[in-house]
Amino acid sequence: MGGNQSTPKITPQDRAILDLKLQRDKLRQYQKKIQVVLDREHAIAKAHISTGQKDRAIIALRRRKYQQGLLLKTDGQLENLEQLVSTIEFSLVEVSVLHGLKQGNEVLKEIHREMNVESVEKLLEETTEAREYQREIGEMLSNNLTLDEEDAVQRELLQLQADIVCTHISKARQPLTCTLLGGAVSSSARVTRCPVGGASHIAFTRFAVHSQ
Amino acid sequence: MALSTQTITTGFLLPSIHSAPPFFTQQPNPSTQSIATEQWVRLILTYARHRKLFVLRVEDTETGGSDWGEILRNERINRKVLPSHLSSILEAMVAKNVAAYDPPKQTRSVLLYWRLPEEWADVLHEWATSTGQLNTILTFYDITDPPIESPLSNIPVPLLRKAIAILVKSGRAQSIGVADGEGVRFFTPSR
Repeated sequence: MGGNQSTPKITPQDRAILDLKLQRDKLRQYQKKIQVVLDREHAIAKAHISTGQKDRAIIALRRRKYQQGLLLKTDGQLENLEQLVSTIEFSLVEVSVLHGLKQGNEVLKEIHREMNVESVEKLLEETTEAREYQREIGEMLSNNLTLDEEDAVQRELLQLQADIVCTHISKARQPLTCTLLGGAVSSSARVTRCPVGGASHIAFTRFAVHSQ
Repeated sequence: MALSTQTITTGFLLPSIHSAPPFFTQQPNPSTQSIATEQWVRLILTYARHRKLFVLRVEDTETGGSDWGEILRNERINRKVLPSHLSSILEAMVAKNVAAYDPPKQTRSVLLYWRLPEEWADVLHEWATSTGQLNTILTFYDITDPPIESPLSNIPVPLLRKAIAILVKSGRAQSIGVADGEGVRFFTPSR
């Protein structure tokens, strides 16, 4: 049932690993068997001692010792096999890590090919140009007001300033009318006619006009 | 005579019907018999799940000390299931697909499906995932006899093979055969 493409192919390495693992299993089973024999000999020796047959008990114990030696030997072999298996598996992991690194490197190269220094420079230049262009357009548009309109803007500005000055004064001094604040008045005339008296105030308003 | 539930030494709670003498004999009335068989099937499966038993043989009813002694016999009322009766229960279980004759082509012993092979497949895959054994090659011995006890410890190889076949079909495993044994490799299904 290998029709599925997603299943990886069985490589000779896989077979080798499986072989090793099967060998390992056999050793483990063998150890189990020896353990059973050990327990059995132990029971036999015990039974012989309880019935007073010392020499037979000794024979059983000798056999047990021999089996124990076998068990120790298989332990060593098992260790060898297991080490080999884990070494192989670890190497496979290393191979896949290497493969991953290689692929990552490829991708990085691909990305860098698309993103070389010249094209970045060019792109940045173009951006600056575009920004410059945009600024020019903005300037042009903001300068597009007619002279009349500009005049009206200035007048409105002055009016607002005068309003502020008047309210300041009316707060500072007692009842004082700012009657002439309505209507369109030419800027300089209006400032001087504001009934606040004292050159300092006029100077203040002028200063305010400039500062805005 | 009082019918009561009883907890036996292994901690299994026997249903009250287990202390009813007629339960142990085959009933002539087919509808009574089918109800009794149903009860038997349920009892056998829950007991098997409780003790993690996988195989039930007809001769288990004859040997007193077997794993099944507590179920197939009731010493308090001096009753036991006769082999012919057990044999018909096994037949019913196979018909209901909660057991399968194993080895096939005989009717003396069954493999109990207290988990269906599909469920075993899921358990198997989950175990491989949770123990980080995806993409490595495992022998059957690795699965049936892992160093750390798992839900799959001592699972019979025929059942294991079935579960693996299901995983192979759904692209979650791959079986590998060599000269003197077989192995399996699990992976996450690619979708």
